[in-house]
Amino acid sequence: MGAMSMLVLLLTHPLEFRTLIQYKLWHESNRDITAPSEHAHSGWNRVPMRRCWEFLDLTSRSFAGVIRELDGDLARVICLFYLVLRALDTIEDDMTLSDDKKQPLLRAFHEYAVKPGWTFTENGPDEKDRQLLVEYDVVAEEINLLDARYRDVIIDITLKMETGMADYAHRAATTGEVYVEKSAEYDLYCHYVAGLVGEGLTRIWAASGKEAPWLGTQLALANSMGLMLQKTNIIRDYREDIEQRRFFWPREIWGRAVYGKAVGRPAFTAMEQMCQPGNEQQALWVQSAMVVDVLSHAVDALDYLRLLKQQSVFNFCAIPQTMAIATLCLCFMNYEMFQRNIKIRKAEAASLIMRSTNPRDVAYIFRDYARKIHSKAVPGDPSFLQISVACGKIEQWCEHYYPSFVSVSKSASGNAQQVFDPTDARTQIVQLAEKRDRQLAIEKRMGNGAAKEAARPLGESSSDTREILLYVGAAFVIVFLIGIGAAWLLMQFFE
Amino acid sequence: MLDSYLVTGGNGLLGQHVVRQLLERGENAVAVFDIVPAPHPDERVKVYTGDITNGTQFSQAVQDCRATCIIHTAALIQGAPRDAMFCVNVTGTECVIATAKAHGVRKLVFTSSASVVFDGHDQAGVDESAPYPKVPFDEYNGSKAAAERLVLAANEDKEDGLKTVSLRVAGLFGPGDRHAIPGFMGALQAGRTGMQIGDNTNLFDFTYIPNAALAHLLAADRLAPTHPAHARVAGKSFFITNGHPLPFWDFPRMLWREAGHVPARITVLPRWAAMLIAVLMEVWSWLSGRPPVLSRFRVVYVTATRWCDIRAAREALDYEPRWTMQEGVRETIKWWKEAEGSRTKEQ
Repeated sequence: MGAMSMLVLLLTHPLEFRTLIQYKLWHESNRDITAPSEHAHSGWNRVPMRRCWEFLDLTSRSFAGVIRELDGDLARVICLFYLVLRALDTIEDDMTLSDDKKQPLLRAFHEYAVKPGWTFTENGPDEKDRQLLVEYDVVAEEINLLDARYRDVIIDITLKMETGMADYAHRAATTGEVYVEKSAEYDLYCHYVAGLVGEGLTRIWAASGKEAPWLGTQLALANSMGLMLQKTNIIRDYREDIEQRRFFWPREIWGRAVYGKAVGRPAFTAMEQMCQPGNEQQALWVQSAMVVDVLSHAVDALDYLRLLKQQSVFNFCAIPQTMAIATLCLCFMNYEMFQRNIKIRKAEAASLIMRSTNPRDVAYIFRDYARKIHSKAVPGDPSFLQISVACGKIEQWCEHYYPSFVSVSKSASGNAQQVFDPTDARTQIVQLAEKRDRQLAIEKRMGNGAAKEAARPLGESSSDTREILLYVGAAFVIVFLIGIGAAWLLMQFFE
Repeated sequence: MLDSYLVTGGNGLLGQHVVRQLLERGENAVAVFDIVPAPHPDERVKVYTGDITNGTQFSQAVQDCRATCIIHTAALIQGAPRDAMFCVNVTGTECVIATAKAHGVRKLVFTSSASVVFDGHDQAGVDESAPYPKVPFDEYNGSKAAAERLVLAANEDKEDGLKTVSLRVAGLFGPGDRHAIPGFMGALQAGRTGMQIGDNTNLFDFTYIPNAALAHLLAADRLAPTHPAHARVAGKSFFITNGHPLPFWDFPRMLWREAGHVPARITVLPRWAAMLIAVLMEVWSWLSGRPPVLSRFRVVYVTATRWCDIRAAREALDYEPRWTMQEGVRETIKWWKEAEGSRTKEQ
C-alpha cells in the first residue's frame, strides 16, 4: 500500500489505519532466509534453490509470506511442494494443450517432477506461470536433495493429484460436459485439487517430527481443511470463473427447482443465468446453499487446528482458514459477488493474521463470523434452517472446547489465569470436581487405612503444633551450639 | 423374556409416539394408561382410563396387563395450576414407583425435562453433571425435578429389582403438539411475527418428538440387567435433544415459512427494553387483574441460551437423532395445516 493511500485510509477509516500500522510494526514477516545462519534451512547458498524462492514470490501472492515463516527446513520443503503443484496446475489449466498431449504429460508428472534436467516449454504464451516450467530443472534438482521422508510424500501426493486432474480434464475434453453434476463430484474434484494438498502438508508436518507422528493419519480432517479453502474460493470466484468458462458449482445445487420455486420461476439451466438481471433473488438462494456446504467443513477445520503444536505450522494452517470464513461471510447474501471479484478489506485481513495464533482465538473468530452469517440469513431462504444448524454447530464446538464460563485474564504479575463465571452452572461442577480431585490426591498421598490418620496437613491439631515447636526449638539450639563451638575453635586457633 | 409395556400418558403428545414406535418394532404387549381417551384408538393397544394419582386404578392396570416396563410420560405441563401440577407430577410419580415395586415391575423410564437444571441463567452445553438449582426457575421445573429425584432414588441394585432411568427431553415439538406449536402459530395468526426480543444469538434446543420417543425405547432396552450398557443407564439421567440447537427465533421463523409466511421486516426489541415493558405490564396486570401479554418470565425464556450436551445419551443409549429439524418442521406444519383445516370446517 502506498503512502498516499494510507493517508486516505487514515482520514476515511481511522480504525483500519491503526490495524494496518500495528500489523506493519509487529507482524510483518521478518525471517531473513538469505542470512548465512539460515542457509542450512533455506538453501539460499545454492543457486537453484535461490531461483526456487524467487519462483515462490512470482507464483504465489498469498502463501509466499507464511511459507517463509515456517520453522526450520519446513519453509524450504513446503516452498518446493508448492512449486511442484503449481507446475502441475499450470499444465492442467492450459487450454492451448490438446487432451492427447495433456493426458500422458499429467499422468507421468510425478516422474517428471523429479527427473533431472526436465523442462517444459510448450505452455501457451498467456499461461502466467509458464516460466516455472521453462526452468523446472531447478525445482527437480532441489527436490532430489530433500530427505526421502519429505520427497516420498510430495511424489505420492503429486501422483494422486495428477490422476484426478487428468480424469477430470479427459472427461471435459471427450464428453463436452462443462458442468459438475453432483455434489459428490464437486467434493471429489475439490479433494483432488485441495484436499490432497491438506493431506500432503499434514504428512509433511508429521514427518518433520515437529508435530505428532499420528497427525499424518488424520486425513479426513486434513481433507476438510483443503475443502474449506477451495470451496470458499470457488464461491467467491464465481464471476471470474464464468468469464473464463470454468464451472465448478455442482448443478445438483444451482439447478435445484426449490430456489426457483421460492421466487416463482423455473430452476436455472445454465450457471451464467445467476448473474443476469432479474435473477438476483434466486441466485442468492443458490449461493446460500453453497455457503452451507462450506460451513459443514468448519468444525473439522477447528478440530484439525487443535491438534497442532508448532506455532509457525499453526499460523500457516490457521490464517487461510480464518480468511476463508471471513470471505464466506463477505460473500453471503451479497449479490455483488455475482458481478465482480470481491475481497475482504486489507485491514480485516491484517487483523485476522494477527489474531490467528491459537485455537481458542481462531474458534472465536469462526464463531463471530458464524454469527454474522446467521444475522444476514433471512427466513425466506430455502436453506435458512441448515444455516442455522451449521452456525449452531460452530457455537457448540466453541462452547465444548473453550466454554464461555471460563475466561482467561492476566493477573497483576502478568501470568494468565482462569476465571470462572460464578453465575454459570458449570462453575459449580468444576469447583466440585476440583474439590474431589484435591481430596483424592490427599488420600492417595496418605495411602489407606492406618496411614489416613497422618494424612492431615501439618499444623491442624494442637499436638502437631507442639511437635513443630519442639523441632524448631531443637534446631535453634543446634545452630547456637555450633556457633559457640566455631567461635571457640577460632579462638583456640589464633591464640 | 419380552417386556410388557405400559405407557402412562400414552394418549398424550409424547406417549402416542412411544406407543407407535413400540408397535412398529413389533412389540405385542403394549398398553396405555391415561386420563383422556385415545384420539386414534388402535386395537393392538389396551387402554386403561384412570387417574395416575389414584393408586388403586393404576395398580389394577399394572396387574391386568402384567406390565414389566412402565414408560411414565404422564405429566401436567407449564401453565397448569401449581397444586394440580405437583399432584400429578410428583404424587403421581410416587404412585407409579410404589405400584411398580409392589408388582415386581422391572423397568421404569421416566420422562423428565431439560429444564430441571435451569435457573434462569444462560446454560450453554450443560451436561448431566449440572446440579439442580436451589430455587427452580418455575413450578413446572420444580415439580419435574422433585419427581426425577424420586425416580432415580427408586433404582434398586439387586438383580431382580426395579431399574429406573430419567430422560430430560428439551423443547419438544411435533404433530399433535398442543403447547409450543400453537403458541408460535398463534403469533402468526395474530400477525405478530415481526417482533424479536433480544439479539437472537441465544441457542436453544428443540426436539422433534419422534426422536425423544426413540430415546425412551433405547433407554428401556438398556435397563435390562443383561444389557452391556446397563450399568451406565440404570439410575441415571440423560439429556435428550435433536443435537442441533438453533438461535431461538429461527425456530418459529422456520415454522412460519413452512406455513407460507415470511415476516416482511423484523423489529428487534433489546432485552433490557423488553424487561422494562414486562415489569410495567406485570404492574398493570396486578392492578387490572388480567394476565400480562409479556412477563419477565417470557423475556428470560426467549432470550436465554439453553442447550445441552447429549454425548452421554449418544454413548450410553446409542441415541442418535433419527429425524432432522427440517423433517420435524415439515411434518409438524403438515399436521398443523390439516388440523387447522378440519377446525375451520367444523366452525
